[in-house]
Amino acid sequence: MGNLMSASFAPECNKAKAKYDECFNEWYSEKFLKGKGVYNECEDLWEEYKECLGKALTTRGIHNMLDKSREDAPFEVGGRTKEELEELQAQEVSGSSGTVKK
Amino acid sequence: MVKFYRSIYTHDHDFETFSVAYFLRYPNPYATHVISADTLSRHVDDQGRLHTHRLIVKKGKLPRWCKMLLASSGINISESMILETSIIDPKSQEIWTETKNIDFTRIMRVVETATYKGGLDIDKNPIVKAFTTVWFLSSFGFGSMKERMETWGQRKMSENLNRSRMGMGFVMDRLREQGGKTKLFQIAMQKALAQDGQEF
Repeated sequence: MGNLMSASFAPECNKAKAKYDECFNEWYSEKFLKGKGVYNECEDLWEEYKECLGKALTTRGIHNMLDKSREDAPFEVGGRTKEELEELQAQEVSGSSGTVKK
Repeated sequence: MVKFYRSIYTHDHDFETFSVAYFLRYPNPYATHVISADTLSRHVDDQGRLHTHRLIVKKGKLPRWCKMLLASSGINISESMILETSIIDPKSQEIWTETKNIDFTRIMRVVETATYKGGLDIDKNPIVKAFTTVWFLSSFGFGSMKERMETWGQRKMSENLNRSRMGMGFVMDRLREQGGKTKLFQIAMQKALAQDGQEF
């Protein structure tokens, strides 16, 4: 547990990640959530981290998996979860489970 | 066949603390199986909502009989990769999230979608209500084996959800103690992990 924050999956990116995370957390908690700024001020640090991450993702063959997985992200195609929320609220259940035939 | 588990839970914290804790929730003593969390992309849309994709790597937690079966087919799952998508709307005090495994999807898929809504309870105390649905689909094996795997998955869902709630609670309590200052919070978390990490 050498890091204060969560580690990167690629150890070579830990340094860049730590710098970016610190900047982001500050901006996010002090500005974004307080409605003081919508522009992410950590872009420069983000570039460095992103470059390192990009290389690591390609080398380890994770890029392809991610592309495939992102294709069916529900948010970008109409916010399915919002409907789900309404449905849940209508049901007023505290916990339920079941099986759906596919 | 797809198994699902649904739940509604109320966190006794304000929306802001919850939102900060969401990105800071790893590492925590209830999630020692989480190896890493990387931000893949992030932007603020024209409505002022923050979109984030993160890659989270976790140590695999499959039952032994399942591991043995997979090993006999030459598959070794020691860790799993999760794609976490989140949209945070500070104005409406809402968070939408989706997490799903991106590897071993031919064996099983676990998709969790959640909506978090900030507000006040009857006594005007700040709360965050969490609406979660977890979907579990196994494509491994057939007949009774598939059924066994899915039943196991369904049982694990509520167990895992409970642990992640405790993790969020732990992180939020530390944040509150530090007055929301992330740097102080990080130091406090490191101490907590060094002290308690082995016991959980």
